Amino acid sequence: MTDICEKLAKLAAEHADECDGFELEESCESCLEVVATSDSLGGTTYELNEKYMRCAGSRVGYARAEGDGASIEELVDETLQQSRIVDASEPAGVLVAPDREEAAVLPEVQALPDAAKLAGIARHAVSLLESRARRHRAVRCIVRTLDQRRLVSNSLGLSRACSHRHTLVLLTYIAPGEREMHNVVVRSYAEDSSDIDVAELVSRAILMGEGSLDGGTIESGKYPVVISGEVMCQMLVGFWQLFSAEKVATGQSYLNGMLDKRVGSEALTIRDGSVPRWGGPGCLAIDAQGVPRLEHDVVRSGIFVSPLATAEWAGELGLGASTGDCGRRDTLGRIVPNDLTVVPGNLCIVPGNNDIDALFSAMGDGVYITDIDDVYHSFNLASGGISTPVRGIRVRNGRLAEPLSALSISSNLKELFANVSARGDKVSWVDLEDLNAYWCGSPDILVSSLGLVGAMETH
Amino acid sequence: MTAFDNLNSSEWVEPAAETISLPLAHGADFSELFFEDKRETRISSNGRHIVASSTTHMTGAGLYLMSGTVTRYGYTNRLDAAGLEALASRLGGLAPWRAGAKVATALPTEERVFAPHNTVLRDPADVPSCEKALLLNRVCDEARGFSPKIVEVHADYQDRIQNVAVINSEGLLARERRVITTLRLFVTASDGGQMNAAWNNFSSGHGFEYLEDDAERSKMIVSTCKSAINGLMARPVSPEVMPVVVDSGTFIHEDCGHPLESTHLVGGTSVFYGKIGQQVASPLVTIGDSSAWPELCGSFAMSDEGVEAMDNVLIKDGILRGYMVDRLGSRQLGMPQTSAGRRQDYRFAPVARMSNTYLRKGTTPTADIIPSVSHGLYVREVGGGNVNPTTGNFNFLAVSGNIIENGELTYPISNINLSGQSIDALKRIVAVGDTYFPDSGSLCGADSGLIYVTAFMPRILIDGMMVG
Repeated sequence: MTDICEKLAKLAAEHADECDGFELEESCESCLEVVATSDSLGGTTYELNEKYMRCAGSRVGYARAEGDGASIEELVDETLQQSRIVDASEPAGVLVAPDREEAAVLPEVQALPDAAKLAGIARHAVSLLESRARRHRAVRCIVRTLDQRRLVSNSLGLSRACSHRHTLVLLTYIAPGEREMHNVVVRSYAEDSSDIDVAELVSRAILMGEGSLDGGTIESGKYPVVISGEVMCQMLVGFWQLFSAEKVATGQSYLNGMLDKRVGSEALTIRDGSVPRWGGPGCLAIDAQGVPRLEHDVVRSGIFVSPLATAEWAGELGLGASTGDCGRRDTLGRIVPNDLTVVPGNLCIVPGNNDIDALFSAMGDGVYITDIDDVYHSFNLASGGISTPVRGIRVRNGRLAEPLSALSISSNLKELFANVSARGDKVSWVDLEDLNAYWCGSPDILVSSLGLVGAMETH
Repeated sequence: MTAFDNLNSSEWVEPAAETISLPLAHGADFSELFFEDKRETRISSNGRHIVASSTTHMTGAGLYLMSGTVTRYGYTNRLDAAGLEALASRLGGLAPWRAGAKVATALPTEERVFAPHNTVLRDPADVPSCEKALLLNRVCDEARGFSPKIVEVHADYQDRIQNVAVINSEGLLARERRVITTLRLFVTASDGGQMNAAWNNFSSGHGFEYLEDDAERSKMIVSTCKSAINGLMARPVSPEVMPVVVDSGTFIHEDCGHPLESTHLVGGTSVFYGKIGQQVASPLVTIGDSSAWPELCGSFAMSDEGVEAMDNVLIKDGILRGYMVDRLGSRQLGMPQTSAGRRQDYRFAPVARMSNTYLRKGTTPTADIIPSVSHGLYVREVGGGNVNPTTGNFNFLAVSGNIIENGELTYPISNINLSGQSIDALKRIVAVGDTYFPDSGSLCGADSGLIYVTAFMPRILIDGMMVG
């Protein structure tokens, strides 16, 4: 048992009449970010960040401090003070017990890559896009390497540590058309910055930027659609909490009462875990309670088989064990970033074996949705309602036809899930929020029928 | 303990000044340190009991360097002199700066003091946690007792005390203590198998007294519960373009607030770029952003770049007058800096952001606006929104309201998306009411994180928006 576990066990014994024990998380992040832009935006800029965080909790209260200032004793004392106002009869936090003695220490931070190397990648992406795009404005490329370390200990003797590193490349530009401008964002990830395929990223950005530019609109109605993986994973970012055990248990998700029932078509499987799969970036291997983020199905062939759960919410829903999906509130609402809450690792719609042409061919006539403006205010988790502006390209006889830049999805997640009929073979990924390294992924999705709305003419 | 543990002491000035001097030797022409010491408390109730209570103490510093319009930003929470020096050396020396003209620098000699705009009568730091918990219990009891149809209640109490200090190479040294008190209420209503949820965020720059006023607190509870219950009777709306009456300032926040931030104007990437002096809205429309309006949660004495709070008129009588401009934007656009530079905390470089955005009241009696609409939508509450500053396309979620038929409110609506285009929607404003509707504050997320803002306006009539 580590020194920290021994200290926590000793403190827990001293305060046994006040709480069930203590858990403690130490983590540190180190990040180097380089941003190269077109000359009109000023050139290359740098960010260099380092942060150390320590937080302690009992089954009812949490205290958190950043920096080297707070000792374990101080945090435990603060936790005890907070615990006193909480109703101890309520089901609350559950410390995770290890099945054998464990010992771990917070891993050392690895040296970040050379800034000049990252700057080279970023500048290459900018200049390549400027040379290949028909028209462009405000080209910007961010290359960010994030190194994360985590140690979780508790007074039951759990002591686990892990680390994770990835590089994110984010390429954005404005595609100016005759009647409108289109703001394009594409991403790529790699464990090592050398593995980033800049040419592929640039091609994807140009296709997205020019494909729907100066497009028209459509008659409102139901259409077969192919939702691109880039769009679908962003939508997943907007509605992933549908699968949160907390939202399910409290009725904030329409999946309340739907465990082991059909919520989508046979073609829909959604999986979560920490291991990099289908080109995904992976994430920290243990959650904030020290539970391994093991791969598990959330929806299997259309059946809702398991929500994303912390130890507390697993208990609330009678699941037996945490699914390893506990994170700090830090990842979501970063204003009071201490409470433990449900956070996915790599939440992904499992890909199929169709390339994009096969999906278009299967669709025949319909709409290829290639971009989405907003995901955070587009979904009503309680009703399943979707309402969000998107862009795309009309597909006729299985071939791309005219661009569409003024339309919205006006539908329901129940309709979307029920009508998934085929999946593409490549997965796109998007991070839940900057710097936090939790991800959503999706392949291209063929949906046999979805409500679309055309847009109004402007003055 | 470090020299920066207590931002109210003067001990940190000397090492901070040394830190900002270092990058100037590497080629930066501007250097700024932003210190933060923040304490937050959050207490949560499931409607029956207090289920969680937590405190956070975070300290850190961000170092912002410029050479012309090229920037570098770094942060650390190693706040001893060695930690800051390491950050300054590494950030300054990451890569050679572009050769630029050397500018004169002046290290701070005395502190500037800005007048606070918010009054705090009961500092949350002096209120025992048990008193905060009791108040939360009362809130939940009242919400549960409002109607048998209210079946679930969740409530959070939250307070934040943020001490910040800015010291820069232009000789500025300034500090501010900011307090935010918040109640978040989430209720679920149920009737005849139908369920509907509603939530509200009530934030204030006041202290604990903000939530102690029984009458004011009741208004918060009643409005949230009514919203949830009314939503039970909501009917779907077929997508169509129709006149829209709006009471919520979120409309202007999304429609033109974000596109008027200098961040979105550099490189011509906002629909408002190059339009100063041009008609961008109906002549009935005057819009501004004021961090100096008293007693609002978006108000502050100084920006996170140390600029004194100001009232910044952006659109006057429909003509575009100016933008919200941070230090970098000032250099990029060649325009005066405003008090717009804001950030969530030390981990973010400051970016031009809104504070309290307003549409100035007009002359149409508020009560006359709905009767003037033969068929349209009345939006009472907005749940949030989004804008693409480049295209100007925006959308927001109408969480409660009614369909208007023949000048009268008919059946309720709930969670309907409205979309439009910035300038087009501003030009379509055909009536501006004569009374402001208050805004209880909310969080706005953008490049420099989540910050508290308000957005308020009188009732307005837009002659056409896409609904549904």
